[in-house]
Amino acid sequence: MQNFRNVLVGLLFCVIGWTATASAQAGSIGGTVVDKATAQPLVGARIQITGTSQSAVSNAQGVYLIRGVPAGGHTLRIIVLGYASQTQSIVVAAEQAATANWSLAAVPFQLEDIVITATGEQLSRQLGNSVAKVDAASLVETAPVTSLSEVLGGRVAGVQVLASSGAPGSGSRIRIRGLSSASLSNDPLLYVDGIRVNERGVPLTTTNGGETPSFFDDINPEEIESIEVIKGPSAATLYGTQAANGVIRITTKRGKAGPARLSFYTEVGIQKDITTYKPPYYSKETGGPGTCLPFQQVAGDCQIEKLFVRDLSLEPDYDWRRTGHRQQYGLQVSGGTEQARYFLSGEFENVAGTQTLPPREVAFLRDSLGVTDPRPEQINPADLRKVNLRGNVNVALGSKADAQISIGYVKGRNTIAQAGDNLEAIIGFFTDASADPARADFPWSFGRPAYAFTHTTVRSSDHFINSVTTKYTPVQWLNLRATAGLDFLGFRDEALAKNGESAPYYGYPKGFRSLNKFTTEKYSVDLGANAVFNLTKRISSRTAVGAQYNKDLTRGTFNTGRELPPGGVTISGASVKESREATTEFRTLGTYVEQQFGWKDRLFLTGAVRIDQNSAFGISNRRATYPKVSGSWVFFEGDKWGVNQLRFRSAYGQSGQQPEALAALTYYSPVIVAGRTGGAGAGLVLGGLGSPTLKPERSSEIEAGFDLVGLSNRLTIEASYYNKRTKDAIIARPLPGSAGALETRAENVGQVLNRGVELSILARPIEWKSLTWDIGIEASANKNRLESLADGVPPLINFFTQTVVGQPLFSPRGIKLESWSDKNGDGIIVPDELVLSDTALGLGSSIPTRTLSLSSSINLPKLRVRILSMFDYKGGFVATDVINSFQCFADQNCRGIHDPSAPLEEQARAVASLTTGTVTGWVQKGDFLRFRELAASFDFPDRWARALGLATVNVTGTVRNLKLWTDYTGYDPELSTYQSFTGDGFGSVNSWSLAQPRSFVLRFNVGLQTGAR
Amino acid sequence: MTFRWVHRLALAGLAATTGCTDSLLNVDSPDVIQGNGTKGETGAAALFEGARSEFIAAHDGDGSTGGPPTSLGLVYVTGLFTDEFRFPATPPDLINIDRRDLQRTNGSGAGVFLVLHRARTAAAAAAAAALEALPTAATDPRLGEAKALEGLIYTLFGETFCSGVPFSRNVKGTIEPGSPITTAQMFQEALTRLDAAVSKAGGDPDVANLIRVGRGRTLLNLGRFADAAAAVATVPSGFVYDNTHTTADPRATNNIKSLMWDTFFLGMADSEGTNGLDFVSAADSRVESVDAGVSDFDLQTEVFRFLPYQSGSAPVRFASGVEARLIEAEAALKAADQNRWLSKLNEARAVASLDPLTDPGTERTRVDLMFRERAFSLYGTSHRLGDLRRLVRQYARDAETVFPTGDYHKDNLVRSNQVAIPVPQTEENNPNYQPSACDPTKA
Repeated sequence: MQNFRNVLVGLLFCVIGWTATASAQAGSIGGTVVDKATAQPLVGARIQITGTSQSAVSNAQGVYLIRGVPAGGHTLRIIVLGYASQTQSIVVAAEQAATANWSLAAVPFQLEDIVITATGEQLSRQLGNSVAKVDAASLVETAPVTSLSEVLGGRVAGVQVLASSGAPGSGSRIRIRGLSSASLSNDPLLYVDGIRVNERGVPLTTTNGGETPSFFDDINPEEIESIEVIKGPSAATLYGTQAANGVIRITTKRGKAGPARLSFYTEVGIQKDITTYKPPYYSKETGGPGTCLPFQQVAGDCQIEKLFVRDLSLEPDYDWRRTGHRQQYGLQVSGGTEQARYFLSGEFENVAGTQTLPPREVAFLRDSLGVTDPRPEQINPADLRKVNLRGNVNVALGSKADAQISIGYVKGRNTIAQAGDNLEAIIGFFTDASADPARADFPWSFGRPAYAFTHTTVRSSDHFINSVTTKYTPVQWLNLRATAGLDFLGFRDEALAKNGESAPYYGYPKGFRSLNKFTTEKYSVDLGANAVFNLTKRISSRTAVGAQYNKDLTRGTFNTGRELPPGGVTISGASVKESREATTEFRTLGTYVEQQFGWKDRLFLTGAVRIDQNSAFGISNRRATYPKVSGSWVFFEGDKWGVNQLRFRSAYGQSGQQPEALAALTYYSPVIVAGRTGGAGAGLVLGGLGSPTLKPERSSEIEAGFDLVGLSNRLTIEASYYNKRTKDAIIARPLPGSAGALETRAENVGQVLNRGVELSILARPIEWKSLTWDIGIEASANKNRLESLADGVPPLINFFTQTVVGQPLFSPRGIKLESWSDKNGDGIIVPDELVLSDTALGLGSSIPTRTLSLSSSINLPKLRVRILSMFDYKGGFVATDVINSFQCFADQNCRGIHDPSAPLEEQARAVASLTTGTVTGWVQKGDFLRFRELAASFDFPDRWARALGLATVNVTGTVRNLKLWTDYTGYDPELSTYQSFTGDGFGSVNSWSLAQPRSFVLRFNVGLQTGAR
Repeated sequence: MTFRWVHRLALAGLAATTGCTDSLLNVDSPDVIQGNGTKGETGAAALFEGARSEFIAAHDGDGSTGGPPTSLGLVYVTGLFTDEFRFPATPPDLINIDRRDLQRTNGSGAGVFLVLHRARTAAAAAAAAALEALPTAATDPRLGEAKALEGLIYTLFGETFCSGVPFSRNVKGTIEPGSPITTAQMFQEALTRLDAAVSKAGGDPDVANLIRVGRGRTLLNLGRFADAAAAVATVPSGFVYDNTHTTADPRATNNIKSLMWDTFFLGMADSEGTNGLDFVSAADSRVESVDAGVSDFDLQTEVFRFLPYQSGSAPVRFASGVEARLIEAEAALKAADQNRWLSKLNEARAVASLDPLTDPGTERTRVDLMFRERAFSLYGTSHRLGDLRRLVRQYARDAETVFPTGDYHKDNLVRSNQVAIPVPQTEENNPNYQPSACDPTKA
């Protein structure tokens, strides 16, 4: 270890020393870049001297200049989005300017790209693993995406975006290449402009039932230039501990040299709750006030007098739904000089949800509780308001260095309706209601909806994402890089139920107020040095060394007051107060060295190692070492047999996942205890039982694949196979209760396997002057298994799920409803006609194991129209419909119980739950196909725009969530109510969360000056 | 200029990779207290208060969040299991407790099992810390109180859970798995600890009387009725040892109050399942109730609330002089001394200012009356399940004649035949545990 450290120290000293002494007779390379067909200048083209770290980017006039180029022969490579990559040889004379002009042909697709890795920018051809890239900048202008989650959804093979709810501001789980951890986070890391950023959805800390707004979606897609997804440990090794679930790396937009470019955009739209809710049923018995169920009638126990159905959504006085709306306004300005460039952006967004206080409940509040002026949150409990501001500046520090400053700010206010696994969940009031005519005026189950609307919850946040990156190129083969930044997130969760308005059943009949405040600070420091040079004419070398330091600090205070005075809304007036605080801190120090050799710019072999120390590791295992090797071979480049490029790649690497902050510690927690003779005192009780040998989870991954470009760049295929094995998996090992300690202790006792394939295809089947049609396919398959548990560790059984050797992590479990048959043909399922498993079983994967998204882009250039669409399939998983199962086994108001004409399948589920208590009939195959996106975009002709005094105008109409095809009988198989990082443990469960609405949005993109987009 | 800046940055990077890594990795954990906080006299005092907190939370329930493991508490679970309480809400796990049909996976059963063991180990640790750190340990009543609580927890295990409960140890983070012991062995272990506590009361009469009543309760469970009566003979009728509560903190609040009075998550039962006593309709002043109407949860169960637990700071009576008199009465009944039996029963009733009883005349009706008096005097204090099991074990009553039986009051469900809470599935993590050792249908 010490030796390794000394090597690093030596390397860095060498770097600095060489910096001071390096001098050479140098010239420069400059020129212009234009479109071959139109001769228009191309902005943003990257021209790089191969085998070195020297490069330049063309400005608005298509001009570029590389200074300090050593005299001699060089090869240049140019890369720009939408054009075929080219190379060019050039000779530079000492203190002379050499000229290399480029005329590039537009191509539909290309695979050659510049990728930002942990060690800096690299050409994709040099990497042994796949890195998916999403061009967010152009996507947001024309596709129906409004959040980062939606940008990623269905656009990257192997990346799953699992929504939690259709409510405004609700988050999503992002899972890459399956589930690796049975007790730690399966979230990928999120980097924005080189620094770590909050990636997790944080469940509301006030009672709301599992709804999880996400700070992941604080990142405004409008500000993003590109997104890179590093999918597994083989690629993420140098990101170190915590990167085992992959890395999402976001680069925000930068200004380009030239006059100021202004653009304005606005969106207006509506949202509709398109769910057809299953209404309550009631079969009244003859001669009595109770019910008589068909299977009871068959048994001769009673006689059905009449069947009642009541759909409250069809009764205007009761209907809780309305048309939601969305509005968004944004302004962006960018420009600058070669020395200083800027990008400024501001946006306001407001989404109002689809739930509203029904008229009957308004009357109840007014007439029975004296609430004549309900708060806005009571009337419309779901609302999101967000302001995004960003300022990015790039400054040249002389000819050899530059600095990049990124300042981002997000202010959010999310009013969240009661939902989720929650007695007050608004949907529940209507699905759990009764159709009993005797209860016509009061059909509710738990209290009444007015109480749920009265219990308001709000999350407000202030999120700063600030970073500074400097790059210094003292000599042409050496690049130094330093990035430092702070992601600061302050948020507060508030809940209020006023005295006299709170639900009596809820436990706080005299009202309560919660105010919980949090700050999370993520500090990032990243230092790196890259030495790039040609060892021989054919062999290039790239050496990278670096160190990274991350500190994550979260502080929270929890404050609750109960029994408020009439009209009181603050804790100050509460008669019972509670307060506590919580602090969590992690620190990681990592160092790495990477060596890459290239041969003829076609074959690249890379080896690397990273060593991490982490504050959460056990005292006996303070360090973790992660190795990596990879190879990339550009087998063919040119134009032969319809192939333009064929590359093979393979990589092996390791990465880790840190334990929870206190998992390695044994500690006591303070408690308050009432004195035996009065007063109160403080005591200590066992709070944690740590394992001093606790290590990080270690994921090893082998990835292999190929990239193909063919048919004159009209077809690209990327295919990958991966095999990821997580050893030392940290399991919250259940402890025997008789130990008198805790429920669980974190121990390295498991091994998890994820194996799968990914396929990305882009194709242009039609390319006419008047019409082009592009299609994209993103497909993946994943096999997830718990491979082993240490001796003596039993299967992990949760309330909903199990993790058992040989089966997927977090498989929903229960006594399985195997089959049923209407043996006597009377159309009624009775208990004897059901077949149940003898024991509780795992019922399948809780997240999709097969995904396929198909996107289409039709471009009609003469009509200036583009039409985009996306179909999204997910399969190979089971989803749990808690809403309808609860209707049957608890409310006993479902159709399957009451209606003799209900489908046999529905009857079987209902009768099984009622008579045996098993609800696995609602743990169903969740496979679905969703028509997720449709957008039509029209570019105004230039003369129209000029007539309006504008440079460019584009109008886009979009629809999201058009149609769902599925055999799943619940409301939305894609939803999983529990979205916290531990939410995997609940599986794909929909517990009274709002299904995804259908949204219609009209968007205008306006360029205010020449050159604007 | 630029060079100097880079140079400084590089040096900072070097520092990070060399000498100061330890300080870079040090983190604060201000919410928790590690090793040193439990040392010395103040540490011992804090561990003692912690042990009291653990015991009260395990017995009376704990509605807090975000802290140590919680459970609904022994009073809640045993009350539901017997004829004291009935469940007016919907979660199946709790309906199953009310129906005497706990699976080993029942989370509420597992919760009580864990927190009761936590209370046991906390009491043992508090006693050990007191011996080590308190300068006046020999005369400090806290030592005796901690030992008494530890012993009584064994008694509670014996009364509540099936035979075959393991008692493991946690030695500085290493779990030493225990082997299952029988119900009789649990009571014997309790007695051993209570006997050891006798000399540690430190002159505190309340602690001394707690130990006496605890010994009496344990001896009663062992069927040593005369010894039980002798153990409690000097306990004054006015003695009380309460699990105290305060609304200053959710963990310290009376959780039965929260569940019964603030919501509809618990109600009193009345003549439940044929054999249940008429706790509500008897209108007995010891078990005063209030009709709260139909539960907002299941919309069918009428909820009666127990008046003495109306406040979040209401104490739960764990031991008392009344219990001492009842122990003496039962011993007299067993000795066929009906006059003394009636006299002691009426002494107990006098504390509650109730009219004296008369002899019902037969042995069976006397036993019925004996246990009825215990049920009403000790209502909602975790005594009832032990009593019903004793009726089966010591008085040869059929379980289905003493426990609530037959149709459940809702959802077309039927009661099962358990008479004890099973050892939970989590105990399978104990290599010495034998699931076959536990038969929850045996008293």
